[in-house]
Amino acid sequence: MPGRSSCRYVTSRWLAACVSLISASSIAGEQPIRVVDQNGNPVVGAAVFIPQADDDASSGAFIAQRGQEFQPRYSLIRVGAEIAFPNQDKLRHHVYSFSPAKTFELELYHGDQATPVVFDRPGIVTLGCNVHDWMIAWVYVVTGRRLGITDRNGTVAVDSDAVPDSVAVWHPHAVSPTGLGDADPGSHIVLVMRDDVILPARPATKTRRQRRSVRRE
Amino acid sequence: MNNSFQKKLLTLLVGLVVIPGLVILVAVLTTTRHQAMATAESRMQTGERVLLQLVSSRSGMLADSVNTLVSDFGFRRAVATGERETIDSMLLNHSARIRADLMLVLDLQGHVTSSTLASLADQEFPYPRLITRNAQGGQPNVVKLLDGKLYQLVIAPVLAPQQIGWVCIGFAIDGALAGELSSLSGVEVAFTATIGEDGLREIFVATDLAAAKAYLGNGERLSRDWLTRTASVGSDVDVLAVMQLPMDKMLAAYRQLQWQLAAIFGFSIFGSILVSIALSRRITRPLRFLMRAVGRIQSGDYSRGPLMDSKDEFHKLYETLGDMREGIREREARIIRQATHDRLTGLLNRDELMKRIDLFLPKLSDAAILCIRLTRFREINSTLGREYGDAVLRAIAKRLNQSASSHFVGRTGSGDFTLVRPSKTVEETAAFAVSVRDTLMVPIDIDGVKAETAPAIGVVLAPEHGNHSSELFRRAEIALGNAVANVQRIALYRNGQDEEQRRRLAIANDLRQAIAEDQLTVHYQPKVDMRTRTCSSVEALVRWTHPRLGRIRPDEFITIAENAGLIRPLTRWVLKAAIRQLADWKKEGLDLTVAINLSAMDLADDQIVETLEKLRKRFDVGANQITLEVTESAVIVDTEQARTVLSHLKSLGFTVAIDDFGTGQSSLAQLGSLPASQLKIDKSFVLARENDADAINLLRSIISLAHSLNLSVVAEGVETLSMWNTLFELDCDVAQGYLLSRPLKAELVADWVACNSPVLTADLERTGVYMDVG
Repeated sequence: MPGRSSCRYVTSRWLAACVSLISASSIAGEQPIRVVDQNGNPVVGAAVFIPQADDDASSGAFIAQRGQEFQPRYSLIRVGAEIAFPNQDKLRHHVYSFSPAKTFELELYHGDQATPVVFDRPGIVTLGCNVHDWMIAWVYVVTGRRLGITDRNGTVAVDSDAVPDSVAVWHPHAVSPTGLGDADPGSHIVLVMRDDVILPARPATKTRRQRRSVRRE
Repeated sequence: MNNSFQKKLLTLLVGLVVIPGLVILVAVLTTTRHQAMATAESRMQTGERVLLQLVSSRSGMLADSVNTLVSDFGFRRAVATGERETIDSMLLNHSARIRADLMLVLDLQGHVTSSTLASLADQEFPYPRLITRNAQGGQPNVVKLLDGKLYQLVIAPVLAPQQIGWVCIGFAIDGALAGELSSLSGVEVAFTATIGEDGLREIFVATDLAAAKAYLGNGERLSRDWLTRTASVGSDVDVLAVMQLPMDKMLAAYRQLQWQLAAIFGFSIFGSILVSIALSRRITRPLRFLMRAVGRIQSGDYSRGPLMDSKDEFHKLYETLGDMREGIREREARIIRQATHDRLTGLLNRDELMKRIDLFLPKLSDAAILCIRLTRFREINSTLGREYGDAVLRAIAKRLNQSASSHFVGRTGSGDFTLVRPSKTVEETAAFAVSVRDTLMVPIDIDGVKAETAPAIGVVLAPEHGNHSSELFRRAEIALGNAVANVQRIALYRNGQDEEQRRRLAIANDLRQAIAEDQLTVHYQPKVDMRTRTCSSVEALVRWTHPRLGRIRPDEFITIAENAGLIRPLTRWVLKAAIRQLADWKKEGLDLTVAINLSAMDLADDQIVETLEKLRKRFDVGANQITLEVTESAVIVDTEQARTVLSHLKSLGFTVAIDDFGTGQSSLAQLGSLPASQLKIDKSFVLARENDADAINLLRSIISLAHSLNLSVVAEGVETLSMWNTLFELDCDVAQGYLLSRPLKAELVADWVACNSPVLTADLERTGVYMDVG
């Protein structure tokens, strides 16, 4: 019965399990920082940075919309940086954010019509598309030296000489999303993750009906 | 009787209606009830289906609604930016759109940030587990208790696109729902839930609270008054929808049918009873008719009854019954005639005559009853034969019938007839009696043989001589007895005759008792030898003093005893008393002989000799001490028998005396041949005959005759000295009489003998001197 359908939420635990099968490879000369959750599973998409360090001057980033998904899903930028939202699909997107760090709305646009958005306050900004509910992306707006975003193995490659004493590890699904982590190279940074995160899921069919599945990042 | 048959018929007819009727009634009622129950069940099932459908569709509506809401960009923005007023207005708007009863917005921590229910605003959501479960893919459809009401809830996350809160929408499970269900399915609906620690089920909503309470009260699925079905509505809170149908409502049609059928059935039974009664009456009518006819016959009514109108078997039966009735009537008439009439002569029989006398006597002012006896009838019968006798009787009956002016004529005995007629005067009756006598006196000629019947007529008059047939007959019999002895052959009863007979009857009755109870006594009259003037023998004479009638003369009671067949016991009693006395005297040294009288009947007794011998031996008395006096007449009755007995007695040594000699009609030849040794001259020759020359000559002849026959002579009734002397001169042997002594009591005899014998002698001598002088 179509009317009876309701949101189906799937916890992301099984995805994490898949990820853990892929063993982390460390690059020579680089010291990886590995972030795991309380169960020892790698945390994907966590922002790792050194808050007290100097900010590098990188500016400009973009989050494309391709295949009705944000690309990339996680972005790590310094406070005051600018992100452009190029629409590479043939349909319009309506990108918005209700996050306190940056609230904005880019109403229905094509291509590069949207003006870049300046993220002038630190914090995690969640991006969505009003037209496509399943589209989601996060922008970490930080001050300090950005080390990177954890990959599938939950690792971020760091120069071995630049290993700091302490790093900050942010993740929107952590119990404390903008907390600090111990920067102890060679060991794991444990991030306590929420287990009740519900994310919009992309419908299996291309109907306008909304079907949601839950996916763990 | 006819009732019984009628009842059976009635029972059968009514049964033919009642039993199938009952079967049909039961079948219809059972089926209808089943139908009603099935209908009720089906309604309940419908109700359950409707309920589940409704709940499910509400659940779907909720889900759609919540999805619509959380998809709304504006709403998401409002939640994300925490615009309370916007959220509240949107909630109100949305809830009005889908008529939700409850809408909540929760933050991720489960805190209610907005609510359509004021009481829940800014509160912690009371069911955090529900959120958790929802996050883990829990049930979409739950029922929860919020603010004292049950709500069917759906909860959904608000994603922007990351989750920023929860939206909860609910429909109240309330009276509206119950009412809707009830109106859709036609059953009473209640929602109950188990809440709280105690696990007690409570009613939240009920379209019929009483019914729901009744269900909760006994908890049974099928209470008596309600058909109940339950369905689980929510899983989280244990909500049960209780669907109920009132039994009386469901069965109302059934009940109505029940009453209608009962009424129809009742009427049909009543009607069938009426019809059956009419039918059975009709069927049994000829039977009743026959019963009445039989009843008439039974009661002796032999008249022809009413005609039967039908021509069927019953009519045939009725005709047969008529024939039977005629037969019975004839037989009964014959029987009655036989019972009331003499068969031979056709006259009334004795019983009937007596009955009629008793019946008619009060009506007849004066009546004469003539008892007629043909005194020679027995003789005619025995000499000319019974057939001749019967012919005589018929001839007599004919003559009597012809004699005019009789009320009734009856044959009252073998040769007895009785005639009842009015009696004006005694003379007239007497003349009539004479005419009857004369009529009957005419010899009867039957086939040339003439017979004289020698009629005698006893006459009684009613009411002069009695009022009852039995009394009259008895008295007529007495008169008849007199008439037989009468030359005129006619006698009228005289008052008092009956009493003599009664006295005789009384004496006869009492004598038996007197003998048995020793009321009799024996007196002894001394006999004196005329030459020695001594007393050596006595005559035993029986005496009886009747307790009521006083002293009764021996002549009287002995005669009665002879007639009543009591003479043998009487004789035996006297024999025994006298012989015992003889033995007593012997013991006292008194040597006497005793003379005892024997009756003619005693001589006919074969055992008299044996009895005598036994008594003699028993008391040890010599036979020579006993003289047996037999009257002359007794010897004549049956001379041969008498001679045999007397010879036997004589041979045994007893003395035999002929008593009362001179009164009988014995021939001298008989006298000579008798084995007697003594002759007692009857006192009629002696008493007061002193100066009768003829009598003295007769005495002389008798005495010399006796002496010539070697018989000693005893003279009785010697009361005067002159007679004594006369007898002495006539050479009489023994004297007995008042001159010497009256009969004495036994105890006086010894004294008399001892004292008076010499005195007697002297006395006689002295008087003799006087006589000589005179």
